[in-house]
This record gives sequence, structure tokens and C-alpha cells, in this order.
Amino acid sequence: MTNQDQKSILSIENLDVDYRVDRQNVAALRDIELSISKGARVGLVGESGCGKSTLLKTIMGVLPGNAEIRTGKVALNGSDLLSMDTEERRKTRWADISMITQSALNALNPVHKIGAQIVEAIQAHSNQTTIQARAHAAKLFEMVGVPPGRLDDYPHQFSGGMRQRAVIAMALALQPEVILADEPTTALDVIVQDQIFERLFELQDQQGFALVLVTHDLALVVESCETMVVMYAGVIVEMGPTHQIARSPQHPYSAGLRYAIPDPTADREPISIPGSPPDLSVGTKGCRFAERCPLAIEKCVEQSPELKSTNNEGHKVRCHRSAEMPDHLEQFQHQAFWRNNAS
Amino acid sequence: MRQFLIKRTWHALLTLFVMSTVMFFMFRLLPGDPTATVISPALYPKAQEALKAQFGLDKPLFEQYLIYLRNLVLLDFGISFHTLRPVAGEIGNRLINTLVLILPSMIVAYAIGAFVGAMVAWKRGSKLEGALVLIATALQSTPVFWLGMLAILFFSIRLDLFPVGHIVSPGMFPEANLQMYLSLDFLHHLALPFMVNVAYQFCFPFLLMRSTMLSTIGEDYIELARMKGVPEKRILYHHAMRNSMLPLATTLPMILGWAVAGSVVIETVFSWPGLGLLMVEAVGRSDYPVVQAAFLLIAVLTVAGTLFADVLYGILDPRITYQ
Ligand SMILES: Nc1ncnc2c1ncn2[C@@H]1O[C@H](COP(=O)(O)OP(=O)(O)OP(=O)(O)O)[C@@H](O)[C@H]1O
Ligand SMILES: [Mg+2]
Repeated sequence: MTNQDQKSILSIENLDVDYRVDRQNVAALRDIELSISKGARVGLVGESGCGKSTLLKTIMGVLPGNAEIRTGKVALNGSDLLSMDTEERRKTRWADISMITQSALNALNPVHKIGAQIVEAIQAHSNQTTIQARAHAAKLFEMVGVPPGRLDDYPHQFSGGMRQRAVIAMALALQPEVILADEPTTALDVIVQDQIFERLFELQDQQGFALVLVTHDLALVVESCETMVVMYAGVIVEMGPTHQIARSPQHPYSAGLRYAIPDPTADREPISIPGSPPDLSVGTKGCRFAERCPLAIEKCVEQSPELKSTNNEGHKVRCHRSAEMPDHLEQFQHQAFWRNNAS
Repeated sequence: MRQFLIKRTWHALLTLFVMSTVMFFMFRLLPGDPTATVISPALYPKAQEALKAQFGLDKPLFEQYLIYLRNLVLLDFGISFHTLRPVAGEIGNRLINTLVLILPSMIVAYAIGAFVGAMVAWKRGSKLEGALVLIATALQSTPVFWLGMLAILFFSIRLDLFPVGHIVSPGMFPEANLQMYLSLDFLHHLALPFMVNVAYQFCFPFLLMRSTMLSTIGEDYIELARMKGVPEKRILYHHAMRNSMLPLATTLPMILGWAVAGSVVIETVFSWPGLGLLMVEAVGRSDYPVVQAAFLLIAVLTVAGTLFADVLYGILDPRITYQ
């Protein structure tokens, strides 16, 4: 065991998840390997449909009925969540890992008061009386910047930003060790987004939970997460210290994402990756990014690459040609390179 | 909330006023002389006129209308052409008979239908679910009179388990009183029409609740409740079923209409001396005062039911504002 492993709070090993759709299987997650350290802030990025929500739902244990976990281990503090019985599993939820969901409007039950929904989470895991739990909920509201007097409001009486804050308050309720945040601010305007992230990061610094942040905002990840994970079509293609990946991405897809955000200091146009994600049907071979990759060679189509460490700081990449990447970084910044080489 | 109630009560009263006015003029302007059954054209003209004066029919139409309104307020519905007794008394008894049959059976049908519908949706894909959906769909498209007759044929005539009809055995209770409604004989008569109505009215809430639940189960707030570690039982009752009740509550006024229509048919098939049967009889005998009073009563019940449904919906769904 290395030092890295000991600090790890959540670890996932060779996880495969399928969805059954019309008797066909869709390979939603393949060979996921991930280790989250205590108190870490991890940014998880990748284009729509690459399996980010599926991964978080697997960790929370709320996959829909047509999903199947084929292999893998999801361990929290060393104990495997996937082999727990229902009641054990129920107890770990929210108390140890909580989640801030993609849409706060739909996540709150419209017919119950918001305060009562927080109290419900507290009481599902403790013997607190309703009065105690309410007092606790009021404190949580204060922490996220909602007046506690509004505990008895219904979700429709809250603005989008307040609802999102309420959902964050709910996620903090039992002081979990890990909080998963699935695009927590998608429906909000930029100013409110910034405020909410600022608050969330402050709370993280105070309370020390690990935060896994799923977002399409790469700039935010680069700015605020020390670790970053890049997913593509159900696999992790690159992960490691954010500054390393941002400075010199080792996977062509990460490079594409990296140069897709405008950079005010560099004199270049943001690029866009041509093509669209591949069909996820089970049984395809080769690298899943091959058909959009400017560097793809015969081997990439034939043989799927393994996730390999590139250094001892936890930087890992899944690409046959990652060693050549530094030589091509300049080219990746130009749209023409992507268009000409992708077939 | 209070203002809403006051406003809606006013609306309800206004609706009833319009209804009774329409009914007054409808009966009087319809072709055919409603008095013909009582005031026979074969009588001497003098006698005819005397009778007309006795019923107040010699006065101008508008004055008759005012008298009619005053009488309504005083709950005086006139005298039955058939029994020559006050209509109010005739109807009161019949109303109770209808309520003891229809009200409990509707409540039981809706409670069971909604609960079973929710449960099969929750444990989706069971054999029971498939079977019940099939049965409910079939039952729902079966005419209730036919269902009633089949039940009589099978349970009463073939198996001899229940009486063929009526509310008590002939001669047992000359007067309808509390003792009658508490007697075993009454319950024995009640059982079959009760079950037929339950079987028939069960289908709609069952099917509606099931399909609502199926979509509720996929909602994000159910997933969040599960993530929160809320026990499954509580998710089922407090979130899934609770929210799935809303569409059922919106259909409550419609259901009242069905209850009335159903009661007419069931009472006729089972010779149950309720309001529905009274109406059928009164129409057959051209007993206009009774028909009119029965219609009015049904209007009152429906308007009151709608008001109740509105208030109930407001309580169930906080998103409804009382404006
Ligand atoms: N319930 C489901 N049944 C079948 N397929 C599903 C289901 N949920 C997701 N998928 C498929 O699994 C893949 C991953 O979906 P997922 O929702 O995890 O993506 P995502 O990365 O969260 O996307 P987004 O950024 O749009 O939220 C997609 O191809 C999607 O079509
Ligand atoms: Mg998602």
C-alpha cells in the first residue's frame, strides 16, 4: 500500500456497467478505476452521454432497473458498497456519501415543505426529534445562505438558485465524507453559479469532505479542482493533477477539451472536436476515440489501450500514442488539424 | 383559504340558482302538459280550473316562478302527483337508502383501487399486475346493468347466496328506521349491489393510480429520497403514493357524476328503493314534482362535491393558489 492509498476514502476498481435497451446492451461504463482522497476536490469532465451521471449513480446505488453492474468494486473506507445488503447500504447513503443532483427543481418533492425534506434525511439516519432536526436544518440553511425562516416554504416558492442552495444544505446535513455534485448549477445564471460554487468550496474547506464535481465548465475545473478526470464514451481516458493535464494533456481527447475553451492569454481561436461520440453497443473493439482522433493509427482501431501511469504523481492516460503527445500539442490547438485528420 | 371558501360557496350557490331556474322553465316550456296526469281533460272545465287554482297554476308564469323559489328556500318541493304526499318526505328516505349503498361502496372502491394500483406499480412487472390490468380493463368496458344481472343470476339464483333485490325482506320493516339499517337482513340485501358497484367503480382508480405511479416512480425526487437513505416503505407512502394521488383528486367531480349515473342503474337492477330508482319511477309516472326535486338534489350533491374536490385538491397540492 502506498501513501496515496491510505488517504483514499472512495475507491473504484474495474467497474463495468451496462444498460439494457431493447434486449441490447449498452456499455455505459468500462474499466473504471478511480480513487478519491479524503478532502480532495475532483473535477469530472467529458461530453454529454459519456457516463458521468451513471458513474455517480453507481456510487450512490440508485441505478435504474435496466442497469446492470457487470463487475467491479466500489469501496468506501475499505468496505465494498456493492456487496452490502439493502439495509446496510441504506445506512451508508447520505450519512457517508451524499449527492447534489443535476436538477434541483425536480429533486425536491413539490408537495412537501423543503425543511421537512431535510428533516427527513436527518431522521432517516438518527434518532433526533423533529424539533432537533429542524434546528439543525435551520443551521444548514444559514450555512448555504438561505434565510432559515423559509424552511416552511414549498419548492415552488424558491428561486432556482435558492433551490440549489437548499439541495446543497440537504447534502451537508449528515456531514458526509464524500459529496458528489452532478452539474449542480446547470439551470442557473453565471453570477449565481459563481456564488454557489464559492459557497460550496468554502464549506468544503471548513468541513473537509471530498467533492466530486461533474461539470461541463472546464475552466472551473482548471481553476478550482486539484485533480481532474476526463471521461469519454464510458471510459476514463485521462486523470491526474489538473495543472499537469491542463498544461500538457496526454490524451488527444483531453487536448481537444482543453483547447476548446477560449484562452485570453494565447492568441488562438477555440477549437471544436469534429464528429460525435461512438455507438456504445457492447462488443466494439479498439480505442473508443479512434474515429475522431487525429493521431489514430491501425493499432488504435484494433486494440483498446490500457490506463497507464505516466509518472508517479497519479497521472494516468489511456492512449497508445500518449508518448508522442507533447510533440503534437501545438498542432492540436488548430481546428484544421482536427478536421483534416479525423475521417 | 377562507376567502377562497367564501368565494367558492357563492359560486356554488349561484350555480344552484341558475340550475333551479333552468329547471323551472324547462319543465314548463316543454311540450306536453305536465298536469295532464293529475288534472284529467275529461273533468268538467270548472273542476279543472279549481284544481289548477289549487296547484297555483292559474297565476302568471313569473309569479309561479317566485313562489317556486320561495318554496325551494323553505325546502318545500310540493306534493307528489302519485302519492299526494309532500315530496320532501318521499325523497328524504330514498336519499338515505342511496347514500348507504353508494357512498360506502364508492369509498371502498376508491380506497382499494388506488391502493392496489399503487402497489402493483411499485412492484412492477408482477403476474398479478398483468392479470388485474386485464380484469379492470374488461370490467370497465362492461355495462354495469349487465354486470348486476350476471351477479344476480349467479350469486342469487344459481348459488342462492343473496336475495334477488330490494333493501329488506318484504314485511320485515314496515317503517324505515335505524333498526332497519342495522339489521342483518338489510346487510344481506346490501351485499350484492354493494359488491357490484365496488367491482365496477374499482377499475378507474386502479388503472389511473397504476399509470400515475409508474411515472412518479421515475421522478428525480424519488431517486433523491432513495439516495437520502429514506426507508423504502416511507418512499412508497410518503413520496410515491402521496404524489400519485393528485390526478385522482382532480377527477373527483367527474367521479361524482359516475356515482350518480351508477346509482340509477344499480338501484333499478336491484330494485333498491333509492333516489335513482325513485327518479326512474317518477319519470315513468310523469310525477313532475318528484322528478324536479330529485334533479335538484342531484345538482346540489354534485355542486357540493365539486366544491369539496376543489378544497381537497388545494390541500393535497401546495402549488395551487387560492385565487
Ligand atoms: N436509464 C437508461 N437506460 C438506457 N440508457 C441510459 C440510461 N441512462 C443513461 N443511458 C445511456 O448511458 C450513457 C451515459 O449516460 P449518462 O447520463 O451517464 O451521461 P452523462 O455523462 O451524465 O451525460 P450528461 O452530461 O448529458 O448528463 C448515455 O449513452 C445514455 O444514453
Ligand atoms: Mg449527467
